[in-house]
Amino acid sequence: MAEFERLSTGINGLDEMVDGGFPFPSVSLVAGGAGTGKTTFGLKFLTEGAKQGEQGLFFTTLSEPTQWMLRYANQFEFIDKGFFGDEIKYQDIGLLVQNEGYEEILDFIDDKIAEVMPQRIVIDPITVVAPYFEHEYRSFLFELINLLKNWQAVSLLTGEVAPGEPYPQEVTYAVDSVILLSMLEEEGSRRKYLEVLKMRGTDHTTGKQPISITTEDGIVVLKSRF
Amino acid sequence: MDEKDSKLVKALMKELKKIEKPDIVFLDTPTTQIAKTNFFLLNGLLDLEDKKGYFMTLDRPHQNMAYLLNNHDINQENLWYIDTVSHLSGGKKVDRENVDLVDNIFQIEKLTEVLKKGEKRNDLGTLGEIDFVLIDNLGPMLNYNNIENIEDFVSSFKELIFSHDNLIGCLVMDSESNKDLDKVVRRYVKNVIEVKKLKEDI
Repeated sequence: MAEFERLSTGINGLDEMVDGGFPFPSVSLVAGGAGTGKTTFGLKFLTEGAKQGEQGLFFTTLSEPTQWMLRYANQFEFIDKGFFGDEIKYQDIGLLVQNEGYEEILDFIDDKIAEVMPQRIVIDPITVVAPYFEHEYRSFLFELINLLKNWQAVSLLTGEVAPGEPYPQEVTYAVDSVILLSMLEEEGSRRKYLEVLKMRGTDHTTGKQPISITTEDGIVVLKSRF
Repeated sequence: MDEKDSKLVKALMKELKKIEKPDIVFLDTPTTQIAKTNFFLLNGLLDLEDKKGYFMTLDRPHQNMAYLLNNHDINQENLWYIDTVSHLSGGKKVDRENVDLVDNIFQIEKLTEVLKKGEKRNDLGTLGEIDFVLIDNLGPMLNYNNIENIEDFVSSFKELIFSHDNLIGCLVMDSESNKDLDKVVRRYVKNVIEVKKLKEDI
């Protein structure tokens, strides 16, 4: 059997948990509640690719202009602003999500991927799309994930976890990998964790691993330090 | 495509022109760049060099390349797709006028016969009338075939190309990810283009 080519996740300590990185090509979900580091994960993943000479494409569904996203991203030392617009293309699809049908959105995403030819794609966050499509959300996800699987790239979808829900179930059934980010209250303080719930074709570490989010490195899996 | 990409297309064409027909060439490309390399090759051969050829997809459905070429305004009139993977891909099946959808992916040794057939292709030209045959990524074939069968295919592909004075056969693969297959391919191919190095030298 041919071995999987893998792309480094860019997250310190995570590659060791997943046989070296995300299988190439594949589609993954990075899910978590507010403030758990989903966007940071996506930015670090793209930055790592840019350093390796791989093209990145970041879709935001939030209607945020590039400078707004960069304003917050600038707090991280790992962000190289020189990558944006070149090795990392940024594309706002917020207005499309609000105003167009799902087929138009898929066509736009397909066109943009064909134009940029990226090896790394992030769609952040995908769950914001759900209220606009109601009954068509599952069909949209299925077609989007199929579309992404047929391009030669590692794609990350980020997903907001609703209170009381373990993960966004509509997305998890179709993706190759699921990484959960969580924040738990313990001994009077909030601690952050990362868990690889599934990664197809990968002998991955299971269970919640403590993480920290630092301005220097973004997300760091703390277990790797021990 | 940016300036670097355009330079790589021209560099690839320059390397291909050095090869005397008929012959086959192995384009050794990192896995993450294989789709781009195929695109650059087709861009150069169809657009810059005005050549005619067949593109056999062993890795991704042909629709992706058709979409990519269309998106970059590259005329596909002189290209015929032989798609072995669409039936497994789960994507939208589009039966274009210039494609043969075949299901021999588990019998790679029979694909050379597929290359010889296809009456519809007469609109473009038979093997004796075209300029190139590009095979998209031999690596994933190990998921469906044993290495001996892939060797049979490479051997018969070489024989096929050498039986037509007009043809160049291009095999694309990542040697690093497919070390055993790399040894097999290099037994049959004397022309190797290291795409990563070519890109670095630009």
